[in-house]
Amino acid sequence: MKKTAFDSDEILTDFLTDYLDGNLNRAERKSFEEYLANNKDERIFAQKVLKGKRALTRLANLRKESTITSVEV
Amino acid sequence: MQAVSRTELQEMSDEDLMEQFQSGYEQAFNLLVKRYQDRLHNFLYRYTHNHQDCEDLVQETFFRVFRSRHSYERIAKFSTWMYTIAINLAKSLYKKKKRMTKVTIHEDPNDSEDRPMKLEDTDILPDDSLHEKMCIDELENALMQLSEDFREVVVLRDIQQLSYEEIAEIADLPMGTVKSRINRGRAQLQELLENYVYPETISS
Repeated sequence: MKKTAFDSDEILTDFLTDYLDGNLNRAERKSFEEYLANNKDERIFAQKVLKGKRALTRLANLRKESTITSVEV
Repeated sequence: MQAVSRTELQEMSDEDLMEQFQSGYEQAFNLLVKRYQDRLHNFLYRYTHNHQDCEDLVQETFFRVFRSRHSYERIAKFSTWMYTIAINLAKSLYKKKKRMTKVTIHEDPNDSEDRPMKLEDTDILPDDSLHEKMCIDELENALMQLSEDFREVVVLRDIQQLSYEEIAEIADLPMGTVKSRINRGRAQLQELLENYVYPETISS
């Protein structure tokens, strides 16, 4: 995986974490999105993190569905 | 070949019907189509979100079942075998349809003035479509390929839904390291999933 500013900047990591958790206010979010828009590697990384998070959420849901189905069967 | 009545056929399991079909009873195949066409359509709709595509895929799936009937072995459940055919067809269709798209990083649904930011995305697949094509085994396999350091924290956060504080305590790591590993783990998982669906895009 390509190195990005997120590897060396803890504040930036906090920003991304809060962004994905929906904990930024509107102004903070806009400024973070502007940062991403101007930094390609960081933008690609952030997109992968977002998509990976969604995949894991889907997996969690599938595991739940699978448990429910097993119980029903 | 012993004659089988329609009533007897209707009472048979899917696997028995496949055996009858393999022995030459096309009526058994028609019954399997009747049993599964709606279920298969609903199943495929979750992958394609398009009814016309679903109809085509259902038809193609049954065509493949018909054509490959002699390759079916009773060691597998008929439904598992058939759904595997359907998923592979859905993936092939998706590959055909893939194209450059724009993704939205974030949008506040409660804020009418908050327009989504469109970031051109030429090298990443549309995530929702990608993930919806994945079955639980594919996602589990990708998760298992993560290094243990990453896997531990993403499971605690995204599967078990623990707080960062709890994860830091369990993993005995500073909070910054926990957050960084969670993000890197998620990104790595996404890369694995992209490579799984489109192995030709794996970079050396």
